[in-house]
Amino acid sequence: MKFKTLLGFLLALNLLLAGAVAWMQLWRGQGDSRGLVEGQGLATHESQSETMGSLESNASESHSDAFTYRRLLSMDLRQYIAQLRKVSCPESTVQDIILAEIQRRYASRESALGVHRQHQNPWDPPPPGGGRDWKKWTRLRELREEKRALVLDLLGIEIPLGLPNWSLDSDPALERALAGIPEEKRAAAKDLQERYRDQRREIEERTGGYLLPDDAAAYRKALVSRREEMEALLGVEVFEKFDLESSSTGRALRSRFEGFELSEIELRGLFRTQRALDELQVPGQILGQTPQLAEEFSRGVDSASIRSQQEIQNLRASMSPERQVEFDRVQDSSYRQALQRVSQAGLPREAAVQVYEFGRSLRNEMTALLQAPNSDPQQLQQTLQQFYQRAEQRLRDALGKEAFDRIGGLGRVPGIPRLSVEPNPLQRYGLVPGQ
Amino acid sequence: MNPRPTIAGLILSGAALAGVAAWLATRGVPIAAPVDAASRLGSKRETASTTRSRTKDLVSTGSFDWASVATNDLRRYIVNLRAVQCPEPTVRDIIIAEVQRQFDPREAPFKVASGEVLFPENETSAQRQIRRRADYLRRRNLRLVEKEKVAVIRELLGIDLPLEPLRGWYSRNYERMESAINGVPAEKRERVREMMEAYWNLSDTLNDDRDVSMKGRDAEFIERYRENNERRRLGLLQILTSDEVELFDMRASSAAERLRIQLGEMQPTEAEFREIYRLRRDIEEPFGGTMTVGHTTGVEQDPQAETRYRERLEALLPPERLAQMDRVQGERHQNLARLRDRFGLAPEVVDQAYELLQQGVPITEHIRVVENGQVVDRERTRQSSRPPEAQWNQMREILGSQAFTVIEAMFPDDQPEPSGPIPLPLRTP
Repeated sequence: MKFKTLLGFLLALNLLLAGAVAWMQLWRGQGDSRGLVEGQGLATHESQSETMGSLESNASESHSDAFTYRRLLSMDLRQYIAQLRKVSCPESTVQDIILAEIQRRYASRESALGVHRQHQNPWDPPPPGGGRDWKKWTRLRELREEKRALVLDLLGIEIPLGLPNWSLDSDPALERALAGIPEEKRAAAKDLQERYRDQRREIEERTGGYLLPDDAAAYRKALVSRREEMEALLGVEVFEKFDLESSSTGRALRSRFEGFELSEIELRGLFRTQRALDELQVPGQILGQTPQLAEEFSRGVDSASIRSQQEIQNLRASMSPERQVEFDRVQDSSYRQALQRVSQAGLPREAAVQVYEFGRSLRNEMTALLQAPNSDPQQLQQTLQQFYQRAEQRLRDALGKEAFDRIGGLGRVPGIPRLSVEPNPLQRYGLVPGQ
Repeated sequence: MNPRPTIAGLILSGAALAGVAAWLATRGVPIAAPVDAASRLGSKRETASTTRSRTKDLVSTGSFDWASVATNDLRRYIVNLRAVQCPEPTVRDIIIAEVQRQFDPREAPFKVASGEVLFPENETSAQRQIRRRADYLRRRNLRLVEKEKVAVIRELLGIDLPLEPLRGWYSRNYERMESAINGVPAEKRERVREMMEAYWNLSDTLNDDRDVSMKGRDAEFIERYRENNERRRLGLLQILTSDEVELFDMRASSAAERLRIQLGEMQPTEAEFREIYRLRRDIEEPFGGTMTVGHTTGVEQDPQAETRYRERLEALLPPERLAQMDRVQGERHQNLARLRDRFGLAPEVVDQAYELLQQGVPITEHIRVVENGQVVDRERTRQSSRPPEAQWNQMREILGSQAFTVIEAMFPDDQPEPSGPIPLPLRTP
């Protein structure tokens, strides 16, 4: 009996184990075949054990399991990039796709600002003061900077801000100066320059020449901060050369000494003191200052002005006598104009000195004529015309006919008033015969 | 019968079956393994969702490779992208970028290098002319390559890539012009752009001829200028409706821009603005373009032009509207409007302050002038820039201290002008 029980038990156990193995084997086989179908994205014949529902769902699953680009898509751009890289998309194509997507997302936000005229009607109220709408412009700059930072973060590449280049933004001197700094720093330098330029312009347009103390402080801060940030970006030496080329201080200085050879050291010395003075200037009058503040500011300007003058005097003192004469002459704007006129006419530089000296003596002679007491206006008119004709002949003789014609005649000599055919020149100049 | 061998056989087979079962259980199913026990017995829907998650895992493990769609044959590339249901905007992004890469070497010689000096200092006017013309030719050559690129994109994708207008070699307000072009309906924009480029070319050639002849903007110049503008207008009418042409002109016109600033405070309706612009254009832009009479040689402004303009305005606008228009164009109102914007004042403050400023007192001055060669004394009466003290104090109240500080500077306390002009030093023009 015992053996019969044991036999029965062992038989049942074997059957159970065989059933389990068979079931597990069957289940595994079905998984394998489905995985194959999914992996290859191919339709497959269903095993007979599957129902029609399974067939349909498997068919639809098989069809939807085929790769589509939409599986790569994601609103999260990092995820999108990761998906593209996982399918071995070339990095240049990843950049193309992501850059375009970012542009699309920002384009709608930018056009909503209505910065550009095509988004405005001619009869719409103009920006405050009729100039640029600085709030919108500032917001546009912020959006562009945000976009640029996003691209750098996601793709590791730099893109330009690409702010609209409006007519009043054209600055050849800045372009020349940028060409002289290392290429990898140009975009950042340009952005900095434009940002602070826009800040100053906003203050100028908003205040219209009437600044309150806060406006003046903000304007000066913009000047100083620009210099400090640019020095940090380019280094002091490189920035100074850049500023000499592009800033209004640099340009005014070069114009003031046009035609006079200054060494780089001399020019930089003058530039530093003049820039320190210019950084205190504001575009208009400052209203509403306390007397102490006004006094303090005035002292600051005076000291900077004195330092600038001192620099010029020291420079002059270090020159030879001949050079000093030339240095003094070049400070006269009439001489600089004569230099320009002569250069445009393609004449040698020496002709500028001739023209300048002639103009000076002529002005003195005309002044003496006009100051003659009790002159009859009609007679004075006639005398002046005769004087003018003689002066023209003298200049023609001095320069030669060709040079005289190229300059454009006596009327184009700087500092010499042009006599009109009006019966009474005194009317034009508001002159009263000797009182 | 001996049961022992049977028992031993059953024990052995049982052990073998147990071993197989255990092996099957520990090996698992790499693809078909259920997420959890429930899904093993779950419905078809659960199985399908499990299947989809298995599919995603497949993509992430790289069963698809970009190399299977990318190709140097751009037509095939487009077909492949569309076959994997790449969204059409992304197809365009990819293909346009690829086309651009192919055209980059051809465009590069005509693009300005970043280190190139564009505007030499101290150039003469003749040199500037030569430089501008050379620059224009460089940009025109670039444009030829760009047109080829645009044609390739059109053929591949069926879309027109917009180009920026090709500027001429004389300066003009291109920003305003480009905005006018961009304000035209999209489907007409490219044709308008080409029309304007041709117009600028004609206009700049005319300017060149003027500079060479040194005759200035004389009658002959004006006639050719007028013809160019008429040709431009007729050309635009072939592309745009007459309303669209007028809107385009208003966007491009400097007269319209000035009018917008002058009338801004009046908030003209569209109809009012268009009518006033038409009247103003006849005076400020009588030759069909932006050139005014003042730019010409030997042409004088019609002395009755402003009178006629005024009469037409009076016929156009109701009296109160005309009074408002006069008021907002005056310097006083404009200064007050700037203060309002700057200090965030309430709109009605401008009108209140304006009314107070209008209460300036009459001032009689003795002045000395030169008439017919004779110095004579004259009397003239004008209004003081500030109202009497009571009203001036009232202004301080309504404007607030900051705005009032600025107003004090804008409207200084008047003093009668000094009698007679200063005889010397000699003033030069």
